[in-house]
Amino acid sequence: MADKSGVVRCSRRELASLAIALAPASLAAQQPAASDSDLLQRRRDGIAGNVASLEKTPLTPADEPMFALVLK
Amino acid sequence: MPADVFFKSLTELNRLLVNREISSKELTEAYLSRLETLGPKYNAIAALTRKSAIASARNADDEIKRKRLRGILQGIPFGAKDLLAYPGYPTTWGAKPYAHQTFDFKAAAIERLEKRGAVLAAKLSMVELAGGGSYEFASASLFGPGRNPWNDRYWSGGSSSGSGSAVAASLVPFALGSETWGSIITPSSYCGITGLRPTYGYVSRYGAMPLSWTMDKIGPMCRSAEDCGHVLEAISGGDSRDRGSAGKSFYYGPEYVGELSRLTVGYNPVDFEGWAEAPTRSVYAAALEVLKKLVPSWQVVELPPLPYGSVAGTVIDAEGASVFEEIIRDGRVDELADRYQIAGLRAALDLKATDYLRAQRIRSKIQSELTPMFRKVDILVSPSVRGMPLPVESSLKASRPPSERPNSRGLIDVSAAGNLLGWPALSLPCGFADGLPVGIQFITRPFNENRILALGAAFQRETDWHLRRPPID
Repeated sequence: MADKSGVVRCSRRELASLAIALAPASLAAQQPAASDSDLLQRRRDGIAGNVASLEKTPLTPADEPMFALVLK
Repeated sequence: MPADVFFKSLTELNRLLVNREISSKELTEAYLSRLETLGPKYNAIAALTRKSAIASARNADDEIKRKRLRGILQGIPFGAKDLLAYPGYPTTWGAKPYAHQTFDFKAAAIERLEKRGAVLAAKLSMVELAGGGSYEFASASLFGPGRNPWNDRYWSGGSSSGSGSAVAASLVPFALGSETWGSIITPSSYCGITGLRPTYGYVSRYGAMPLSWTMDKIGPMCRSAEDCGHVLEAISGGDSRDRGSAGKSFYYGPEYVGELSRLTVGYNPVDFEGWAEAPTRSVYAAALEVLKKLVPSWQVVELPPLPYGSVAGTVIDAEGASVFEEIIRDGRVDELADRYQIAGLRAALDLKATDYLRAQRIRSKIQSELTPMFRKVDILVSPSVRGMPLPVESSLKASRPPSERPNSRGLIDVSAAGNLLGWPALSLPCGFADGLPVGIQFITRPFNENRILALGAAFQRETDWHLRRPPID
């Protein structure tokens, strides 16, 4: 659907459907072949990102870990 | 057998069986035939348990004939996610390294259903290792991508993919799924069925593949809230074989909740108007209108800013890498179908103990900060998932550009938070967008499933979304 400026705006899902309709073969088969080492590095970076995000939360020595989820 | 039978509720099926209008053997054979014919279309089946199913059905018929009644599930077939052990058939965990794995004992949840006379008809497909390590494509499964009965070019969701599509297509009246982070709620939402993630510890995980010992839950995936209540009652209960067992049993009784009009709902409009994808917003607006007539008191709530996703991700990564350490180290992990997942499991093995502990320390903090919220509200309401189902070939890792993200986070992190804190959640269909189901979820405090089931049943009395049938035959 186009807005007033004539720019076509699509949802992520619509874009994905369009891409598949236009593609002669599956997208999965056409993924740029990242090497295994690139992919491993990407996943390590993701985990490091999570850890960096955790480090922004201040903790004191009194903040104990949840060793088991105990519910009441 | 008339097609209508396949779409009946558990109560209706029970009535037919007890009145001996149909036999369990007839019903089981009819479902087995349907599983065999339609199951492959959705990549829903891991294995048919035909031989043991027919024997169990005959036994149920014999007991019903002798008036030895075991409750509403007696003689009714069901399916179980292929991470639950069952002797005589493979339990593959959806993954090639375990394709020939067998166990000589039954998972507790299946055992409990069988004690009530229910009949296991099929092991159902799943994302490999329940998605441990995180995956990029729907094809991350020994059985191929789970296909959605509403449109088989779209994904059925994961990781309980086969449970979602099999119930939606009425290949079984109900199924067991499991959730560590989203694996019951997502396929339930995508497939337009009603799925219940129970309180952590309510259902024994004995005989189930672990992914995260501190987060895994097993729960029912059905066609209505009422059916979920009956199944949870059957599978809940203490079990000394599961260290996470809460030692409690659930009794389905939505009437115990009292007047829904006395409850208070917590929600945030930004979830439905900002985070939800554009085609779903009018669906949610209509659903909220129905809900506001049932529960007049609503409060806007927002989760405090804490790193919910990073905590959940770190806990699952660390525990999952420990669970699968052997296949990661010996290289069998490379047999998995999804390269992103292989790399994720390998990378997670390097997580430091201090990082895992930091995540668990923040998790305690999250519990302290969020638990008081249920003093102000009784039920949280939010979209079941952020987005609509994607085509099976799409990358599942595409995310919305930061410029399109709303300023407020509302309850967008409630899936991570709810799973970290063991909160129960019920996903139910609330409409359609672009021909695919849209799900809404109700979340409450631990061990208060009757509350969300009562609201779910009331919503389903006012709407007929859960009765819609996908174009399958």
